[in-house]
Amino acid sequence: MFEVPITLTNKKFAQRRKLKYQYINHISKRFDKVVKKTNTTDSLPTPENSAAENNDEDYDDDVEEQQNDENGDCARSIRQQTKRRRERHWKSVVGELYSGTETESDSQEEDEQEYDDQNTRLKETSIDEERKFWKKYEKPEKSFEVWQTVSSQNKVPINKQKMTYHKFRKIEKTSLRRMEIPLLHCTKENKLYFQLLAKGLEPLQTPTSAVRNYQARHIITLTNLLHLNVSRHNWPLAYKIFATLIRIPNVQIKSIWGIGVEILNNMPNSSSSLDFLQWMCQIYSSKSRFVQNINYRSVVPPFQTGSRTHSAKFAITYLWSSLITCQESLERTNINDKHYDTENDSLQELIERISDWVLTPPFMEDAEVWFIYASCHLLKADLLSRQFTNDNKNDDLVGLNKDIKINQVIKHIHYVKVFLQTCLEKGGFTVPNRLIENQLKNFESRLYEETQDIQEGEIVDDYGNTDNSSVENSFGDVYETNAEFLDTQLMDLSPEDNEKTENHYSDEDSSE
Amino acid sequence: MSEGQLPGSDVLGSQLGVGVQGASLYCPRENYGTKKPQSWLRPVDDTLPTRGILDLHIVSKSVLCDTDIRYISDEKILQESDHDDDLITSDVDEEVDEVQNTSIVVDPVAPVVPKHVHFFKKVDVDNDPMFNVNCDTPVALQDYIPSDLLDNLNGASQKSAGSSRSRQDALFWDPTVANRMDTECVQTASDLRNYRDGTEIIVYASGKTNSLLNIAALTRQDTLHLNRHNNVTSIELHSPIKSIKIPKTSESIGRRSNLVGVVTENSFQIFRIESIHSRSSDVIITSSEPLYFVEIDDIQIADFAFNPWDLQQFAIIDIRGNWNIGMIPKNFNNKKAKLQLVDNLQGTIFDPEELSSWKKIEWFSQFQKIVVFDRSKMIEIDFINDWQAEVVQAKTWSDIRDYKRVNDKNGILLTSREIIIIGASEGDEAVRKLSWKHDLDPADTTLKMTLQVVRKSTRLLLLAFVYSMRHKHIYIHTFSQKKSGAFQSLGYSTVLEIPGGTLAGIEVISTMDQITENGDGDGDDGEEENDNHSSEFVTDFSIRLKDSSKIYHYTLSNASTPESSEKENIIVSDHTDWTTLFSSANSRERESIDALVSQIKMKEREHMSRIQALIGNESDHDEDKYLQDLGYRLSIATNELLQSWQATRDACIHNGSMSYSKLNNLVEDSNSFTSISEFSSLLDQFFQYYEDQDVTFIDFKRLLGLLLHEDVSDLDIFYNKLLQCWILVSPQAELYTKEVVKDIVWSLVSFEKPSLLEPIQKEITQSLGRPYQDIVDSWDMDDLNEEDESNEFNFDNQFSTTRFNGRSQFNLNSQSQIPTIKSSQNNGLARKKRILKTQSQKAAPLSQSTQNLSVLPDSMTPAFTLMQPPSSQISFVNDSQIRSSQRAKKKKKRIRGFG
Repeated sequence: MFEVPITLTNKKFAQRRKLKYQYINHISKRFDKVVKKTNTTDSLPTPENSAAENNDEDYDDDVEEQQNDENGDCARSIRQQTKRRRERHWKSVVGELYSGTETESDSQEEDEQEYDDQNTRLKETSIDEERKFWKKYEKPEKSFEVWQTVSSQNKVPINKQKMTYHKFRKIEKTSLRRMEIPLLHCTKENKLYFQLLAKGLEPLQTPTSAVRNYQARHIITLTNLLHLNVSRHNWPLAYKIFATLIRIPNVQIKSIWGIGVEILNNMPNSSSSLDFLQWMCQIYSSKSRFVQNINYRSVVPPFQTGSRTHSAKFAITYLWSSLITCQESLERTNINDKHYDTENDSLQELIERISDWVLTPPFMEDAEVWFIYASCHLLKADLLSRQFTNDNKNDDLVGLNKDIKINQVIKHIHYVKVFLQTCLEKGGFTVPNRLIENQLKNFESRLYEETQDIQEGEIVDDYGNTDNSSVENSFGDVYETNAEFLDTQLMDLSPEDNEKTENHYSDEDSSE
Repeated sequence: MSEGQLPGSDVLGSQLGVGVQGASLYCPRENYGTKKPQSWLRPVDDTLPTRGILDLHIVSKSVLCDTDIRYISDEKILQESDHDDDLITSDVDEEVDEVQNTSIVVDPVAPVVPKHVHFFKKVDVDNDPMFNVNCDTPVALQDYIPSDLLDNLNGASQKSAGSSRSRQDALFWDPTVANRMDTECVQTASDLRNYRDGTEIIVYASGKTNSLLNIAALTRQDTLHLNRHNNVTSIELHSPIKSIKIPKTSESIGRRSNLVGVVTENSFQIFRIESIHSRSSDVIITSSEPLYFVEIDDIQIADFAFNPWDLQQFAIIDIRGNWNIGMIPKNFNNKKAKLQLVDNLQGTIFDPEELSSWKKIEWFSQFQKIVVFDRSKMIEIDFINDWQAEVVQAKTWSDIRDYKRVNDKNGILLTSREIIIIGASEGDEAVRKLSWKHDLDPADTTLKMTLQVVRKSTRLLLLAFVYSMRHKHIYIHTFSQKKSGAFQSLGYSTVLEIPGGTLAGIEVISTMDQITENGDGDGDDGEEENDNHSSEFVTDFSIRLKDSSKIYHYTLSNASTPESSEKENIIVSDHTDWTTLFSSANSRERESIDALVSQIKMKEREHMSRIQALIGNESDHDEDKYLQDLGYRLSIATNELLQSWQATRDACIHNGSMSYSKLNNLVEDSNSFTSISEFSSLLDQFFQYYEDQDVTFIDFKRLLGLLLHEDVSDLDIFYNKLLQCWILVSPQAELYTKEVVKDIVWSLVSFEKPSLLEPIQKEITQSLGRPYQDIVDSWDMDDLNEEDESNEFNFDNQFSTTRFNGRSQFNLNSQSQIPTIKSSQNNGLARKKRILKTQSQKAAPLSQSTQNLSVLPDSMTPAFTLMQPPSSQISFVNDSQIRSSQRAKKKKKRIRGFG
């Protein structure tokens, strides 16, 4: 009933897949040809036309075969190699007598050889067929399907070339004829399977329903129980099942990690879901490039693996959940506590960890990670700026101390803007920009609530400006500016600086 | 970007699944302690109570109707058709007569009787609609199908509609058979005029070939029932029905539809419900002329849809992907009741790579926009502005399974891996918004989905029921949509099992329109703004199981009030298999069930007491002393046994019985210790001691290795490994494991004294006749050589001088003999060569060899011996002189060549 975390390999289903792809490739090749023809001639069929078509067909077939032969050159060399290997093998089996008996046993041997050869040939072509099919399509790594938003680029006029019954028969006929030979070597069941598939029916059986292997059965049962118990919130039992399941060899933990996280989250006396996620990140994070040429049949990339441009889902989940737990734990502790060390809390740790990921090679080039990075700083800025709000008023916030605190907030606000910008530059990620900007302005207004009541309105705008300037900054500059920000002396300058560009910003604002 | 919108990938939105976090947004609070408690905007809706909202349980279950029963208007069931050997008996379709088809019942036309036709005893021919000939419809040829054709069809599509023998483990199903049952609220013309709300109706297919279309009004009293008079209008369509659909209209046009679309095996037809009599529940129907597939290029229609903004427009798609927009005539009464396809509003999404005939067509966010699906594509089409765009391409890791329209803006796509909300962007284009990974078997092609919208005061709940023909579980996931329009997932899903019935899966689930919580019986609830209460809801659906004739109506609720749970218990227990089994049992069966139960209870008690005892053992016990004692007892018993073996040695030799023993035969009360490592060392000492005394023990560590599939150096390690696996299973795992390990040791370890066996072996060998001895020797030799040279009990030592010559001769004879046989069969050069070769070897007497040959065991195939002579000869020569392990290896290799 549920997805099984192992790769079920089964001779029967492998053969079915082979047949299917073989047929699909034939039929699409045939279709291309027919469509091309109708496109070019684009006239009503006349007797001459159809006669020519028929000729064409034959001719095409020949050509096709020739092409096949050309394509199969390398395949043939492989075949010859296997032949030679087989000969050697037979020699060793027959022993020295081989040389003597060569002539007499030739015929028989040849037969067997041919049979074997055909088998291998079948195998080879089938591998090619499946790969050929997969090669045609872009393999997405973030989702299971390729998604596109409708835009002027992918809008095409409606395809009005109706697939008529006769046209389809024509396409189908040759392809079915071509399938006759591979079907000869199939089991009766698979033959039926193919014939029904070609008729448009769909299989009711799945590989899991046909499994007779005890271990695989065991895994299937466990998986079903696991999902059912998770859905019933029966966590202790689910925990046991999960623990049993992941200890079985060949079970891919990558495909059931989410359930593990959910179970650990809900187990009463375990804080280990984060540990588990961290462990997943350490073991399975990959920053290699995503290779389009691999079929990835056993491990499906979305939700399971990562690459340079796509951080694995468990890594993202890890970051988000640690950020959320950070926020929750910080919420509980009092920020105004004198012993509270703002530079060494769990949030700071998380920030450092992410900066490790994004700033050291191999760089994580996923926009979402940058967004999380920005969110961390957003949270930090919020926490720090809260010290200035009225209800949390702290008496030692005077003089130098206050300046330092203000600087800290400004620093983090700046970071948020920079990282958000990086996130946007990476592209492919939508962020509620305006919302965050408003929030940042809000934080800043907290800082100057008392001292600069008069200027409040301006300041809110000012720090909108910091955003703009930081956008223009390249990434390397950020650190410099940060260093400056840390210096309290420079702090006073920044509002003046910003005033210069204020008009520009408000213009932009109104235009939006 | 508007407020309340989640951050997320441009194209993909948020991707969620069990335990997966999506991109969230930090919303800092303005004033602390006053406003909303949560400070994150997450793709998972955490404003709802985390538990309980999906704790759906079945509140009531009732049979809506039975497709095996023909209901007619005069308040009684006419006849119940028998499953086995009765053709469908039914009356003339009265309703149809009234409305339009004034059918003349003529004498039955006797068809040409096919060969395999079965004659039934009680066929009421007059009643059979099969033999009605309607004057204004062409004679339906498809009624008289030759039986051999039927046989073919059965062979080809075992799952297709008409096949009578539906094997349970059938291989295939027809994806064009979409849903043969639909329930919906319809509003007829008179309803509209009188400002009446619609009537809920059910439309389903019935009959042996599913060719009978039934339409009936439903009434709602607590749950949904068939109308009081059991008044069902039936129409014989003369062709198996493949799919039935009642269109849902857009909210913006302010009315409901009154149409029913039906696809049969050879035509597409639309029925219009003219009126529903409020008292007698008579449904009056007019029908369009069927649109035969022959008229539209002879390709079967796979799916159809109605324009939610225009009741006159529909769209069809055939199994090759050709779609077409059509118009429905305003009036079906006159002669122009023909469905018209619009010539220039058509196109195709044909894909040669798509083998499945499953196709789907549905209207999207605008009047002129449709979305068209096959298993691997979703294409958005604007048929007025003439463009199409591929939105989804699912060629790689998933397939599209189903799509349902939610409202004018949104739809839900079910793929083999995810449930995805597709919404309309600002430009009214399809955009993926939120997805939930459902973890159902991706290879299951029969997954389908039904939606139920529950309108709460603060939000819209979107329940997706995912079901399959392969099992009876419904996977339910819920999305919530707040006023701002953003969708959130509930973060978890639930699985509901449909109790009772057969093992078969679910064919179709159908829900009514959306449920508005406040107006739906819970009027008092609507006043409360309590969050807990507002998350409670009641939902219902009608369900038809595969291979079952009954259509059930289920009501689900997540309310956790005690009364409802009580109610549920009663009802559920009424329907579980166990109770029905128990209640239907007679007194004798009851007795045996009772006996069984008491046995189980006894076993349970025994088990408990055993565990108690074990725990007791664990705590008190002088371990060292006990083990020491055990050692003594063990060695005493062993010594006794050895002596007895020695004493009865001659008798044993005489009988040919073997002397060996298992450890657990020696001592009793051997299990009352807890330290496995101590025990392990005791065993080691024991083995050591007796091995010095010429006793051989079984290599039980290797056996342990076989159990674990890895090398085990120590019993202790074995124990720990077992424990590691089993610790999860039970809190008492340690005890169990110890028990198991002890049991394994005591029952596995056995020993024997080889020196005692020797004479027996000798005796037996000598009792054999000479040629047999030779054979035995020749087989044994190799084995022993292979195994080890240094073995003291090697037979070679004893037999080497005396037997070896005999053996060698035998070998020589038999093997040099074979080529001559072969050479006599073959001819030519090879023969000469071989004879030469054999002669060059030591000449062999031919007389003995024939006899020896006949003695060769059957397992020794002639081909084997035929092929090997030269090489084996050579090796044999080597062997007789060097007799080394090398030779054994060589021989082994050669044999493997054949394996």
